[in-house]
Amino acid sequence: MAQTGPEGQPTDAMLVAAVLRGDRGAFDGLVERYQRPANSLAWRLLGNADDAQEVVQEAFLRAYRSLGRLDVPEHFRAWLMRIVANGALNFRRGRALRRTLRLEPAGEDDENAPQHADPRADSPAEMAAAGELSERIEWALQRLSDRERQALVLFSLEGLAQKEVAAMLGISVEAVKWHVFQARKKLKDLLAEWL
Amino acid sequence: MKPHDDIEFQLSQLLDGQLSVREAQALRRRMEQEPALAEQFRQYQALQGELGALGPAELPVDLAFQRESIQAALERESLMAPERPAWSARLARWSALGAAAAAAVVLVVLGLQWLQGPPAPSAELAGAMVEPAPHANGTLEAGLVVPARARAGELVAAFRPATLAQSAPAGMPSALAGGPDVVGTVVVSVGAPRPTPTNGMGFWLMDLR
Repeated sequence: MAQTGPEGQPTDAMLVAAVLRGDRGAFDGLVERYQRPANSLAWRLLGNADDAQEVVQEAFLRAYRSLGRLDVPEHFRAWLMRIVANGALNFRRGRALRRTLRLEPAGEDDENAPQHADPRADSPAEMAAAGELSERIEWALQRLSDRERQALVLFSLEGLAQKEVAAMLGISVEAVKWHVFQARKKLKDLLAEWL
Repeated sequence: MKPHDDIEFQLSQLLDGQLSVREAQALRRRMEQEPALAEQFRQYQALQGELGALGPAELPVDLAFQRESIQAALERESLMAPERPAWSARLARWSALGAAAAAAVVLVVLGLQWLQGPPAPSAELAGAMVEPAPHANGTLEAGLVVPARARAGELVAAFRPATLAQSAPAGMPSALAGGPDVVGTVVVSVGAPRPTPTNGMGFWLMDLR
């Protein structure tokens, strides 16, 4: 059995096993390895970097508490990303509820409202000036409705099955297909010049 | 759905391999005859390729600070607390045993009330709990009760009353009607918000299986 992964790094399974043996440093290693994609996923689902950080912190704490129930340690990343996604979606639902109860003012990230929360660019002109297509895609993603972005991010970027996305979002599989299509169509139009 | 949307929706479905062989062949034939449609499909393919290759977004997040915050939160929850002195561990163990035994008494009494069956073997149960024999890891097998730590501030008492374990009667709450090994569990939260009474039995039941 291999003792380390590529480039001599311990595999996820090794780190998980070490954490379960009580090695706190091993959990630091998992956090360091996955906090960037976790923040990215939460931000893409929430459209707000501060909220995303809060969700990610809670997700790692949940992961730590539940680590003993992870059946396949090699799948730590996928498992963690589901915790992050569920946390982000619950966070958004909680915020919507707080707004319904008028505990929070309505903001620009209301359900189905286009997002303008990209921390790096605010206008198409700025994005056009940016060189990387990936940055243009990030900009365009934030112009989708919540449902479209959530469905597309979970299905096309995170690779979850449509059935699982449907369960996470509380909608039907057909609705997931439709939102993914609408998201693709909008992105195709927004990025037509670069595709 | 507009006709224009309909054909584009099919392109999206084709991209995901969700059309039937027949539908896919028909759509590909149509693309051969309609270059504009073929171009749209090419754009969807290109977009999907870019999305699939998209790495994590670059965010203004202080990753080191975030790691420290996570560690600090774990410390606060005592999930990563350093080894306590032996006397402290013993005190915590016996506190846990006391709380678990109390929970077990409540459960057994309520379980027996629920059954309204023949007189319960109370002497056997009480005797087992009066003289618990804790294991080195802090768990207790006091005859029919197995308490264990769940997470910070909580104890879980799994209960297995002999009279219930044999055959769960009809109408018993699902948390009580478990398998032969563990009939049910109760979570005792120390300092946490008061659990909501469920099952009409006045305490919180949680099935951990």
